[in-house]
Amino acid sequence: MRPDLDLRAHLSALGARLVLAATLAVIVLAAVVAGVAQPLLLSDGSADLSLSLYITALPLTVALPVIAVTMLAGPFSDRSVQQTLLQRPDRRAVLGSNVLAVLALAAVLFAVTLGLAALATWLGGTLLGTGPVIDGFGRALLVQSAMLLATTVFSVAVALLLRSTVLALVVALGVPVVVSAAGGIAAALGRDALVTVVRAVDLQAAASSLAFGEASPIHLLPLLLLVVLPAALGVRGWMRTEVA
Amino acid sequence: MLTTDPSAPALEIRGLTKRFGAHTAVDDLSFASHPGTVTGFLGPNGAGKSTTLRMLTGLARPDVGVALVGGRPYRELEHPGRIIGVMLDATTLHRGRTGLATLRLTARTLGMPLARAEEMLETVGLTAAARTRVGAYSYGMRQRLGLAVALMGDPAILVLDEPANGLDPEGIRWMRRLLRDFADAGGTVLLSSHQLREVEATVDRLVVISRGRLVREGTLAELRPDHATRVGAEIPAALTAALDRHGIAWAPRPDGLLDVGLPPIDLGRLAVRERIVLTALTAAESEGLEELFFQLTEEPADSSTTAPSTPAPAPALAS
Repeated sequence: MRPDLDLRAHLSALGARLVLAATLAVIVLAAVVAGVAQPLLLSDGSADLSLSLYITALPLTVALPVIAVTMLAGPFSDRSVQQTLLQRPDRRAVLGSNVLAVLALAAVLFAVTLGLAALATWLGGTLLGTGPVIDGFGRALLVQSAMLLATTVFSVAVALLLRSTVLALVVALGVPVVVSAAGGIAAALGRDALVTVVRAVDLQAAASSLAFGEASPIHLLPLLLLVVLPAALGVRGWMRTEVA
Repeated sequence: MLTTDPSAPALEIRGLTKRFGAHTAVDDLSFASHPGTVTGFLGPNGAGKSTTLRMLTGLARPDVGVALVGGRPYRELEHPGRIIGVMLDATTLHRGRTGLATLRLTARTLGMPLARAEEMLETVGLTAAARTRVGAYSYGMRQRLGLAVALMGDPAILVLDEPANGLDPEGIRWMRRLLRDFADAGGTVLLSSHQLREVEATVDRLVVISRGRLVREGTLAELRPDHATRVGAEIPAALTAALDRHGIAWAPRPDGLLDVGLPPIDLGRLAVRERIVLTALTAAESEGLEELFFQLTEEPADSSTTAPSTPAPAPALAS
């Protein structure tokens, strides 16, 4: 496996560089807003690192699916997978390598986000307010990590399954929004059955629960339905599909 | 390990068959390419050339048969780019990378020195466009870049699908020289084309397919019509079965006779040995290689596509 090659391949393309540059710019902007706005808007003039992390990591909920899909489904859409497989015909290795490359890039982006959130909170709290607050940061970090990991692996599974940039983007970005909206509607209607159905596909809620060790069947179901099943079908397709 | 027998074929297609639903794209195809030769893989559009090359390079799986590179399936080669350079479709080169980045990435993948990227750009005449993105390349430039990718690993075998497409006359001459030199240095070249003229000046051997089937194979001299025979048999099926058994290429003619890739005297001997009653046996008319190619690869007459009996109206004259 050569994830370094796949990272290089991805980052050498103009489109990927633009996406990455835009992502970093938005993360920096979000960090600045989080660090500056909190001391000015909060009554005690503090800057809470947990809230900063939540705000700064928001762009990643869009960026991570875009990166995962363009890295895994993109080569099928633009047919450049032909060149890859001619040079590296071991499909299992290429697939594993690409998935590792996506996870590595996601981890780096999350680390940068975390660093920027901490820097902005410290600067904002110290210069504009009463100082930074780090109470409850461990919990916030755990939840954000779990939710972004869920976003990434869901996008990976969808990209493997659909192998089409447009379709995979629509599903990877659309499903969490639809599920979230359905959850709100179900809660408002107070229908227990509907709430249960939505919970069975609410990967974000499940990821959050799993991060705290609440591994009940209803929490494992979204993982099975939205990650394991599509990923298994996707891997099967990846191994068998004939490349034109 | 690849086979080290110098007389062994570098590329071998053995009984390859590929079906897409009811359509048989490649039908029991067998041929081989040996070191030091340029083999032209010829057939009209849709004959099954690209499908065969995709199976040879592991991009598609055959339903029946095997395709071997140095005695092994492509997918089992550890570093295929160091053994076999392949250019199937230059439009699959990533549009968002520069030519130089494309070749550097290939060099890293194949474990070649990065400096070879510049060397290859110079070889294919793209030095001036090194930092231009592939998306801005013309089709001919992409073909050149695709060839550079294929040559990057310094392979002993080249497989090229319609490499002359998009090249200007000077580019075609350059490509011919390059392939000839490659083969003369002991390399093996398999290049596909749907135009005989394009490959006639370069190839040593021709493999002609039509509708997925091998219709003729041999050196250019062997395939010249003066080596062919037009023949008829009392039981045509017995004759075609005997020709197939002996691996002799044949093609049906609209008049019910067959064009067979064997001199008349040899065909006569074969008929005697196989106890086949011949109804006609003449040397095929010397119509040139290209005419023979058209004959071999023409689609059978189909009642649904025959011309209507009423002629089409002439275009109106401007007043």
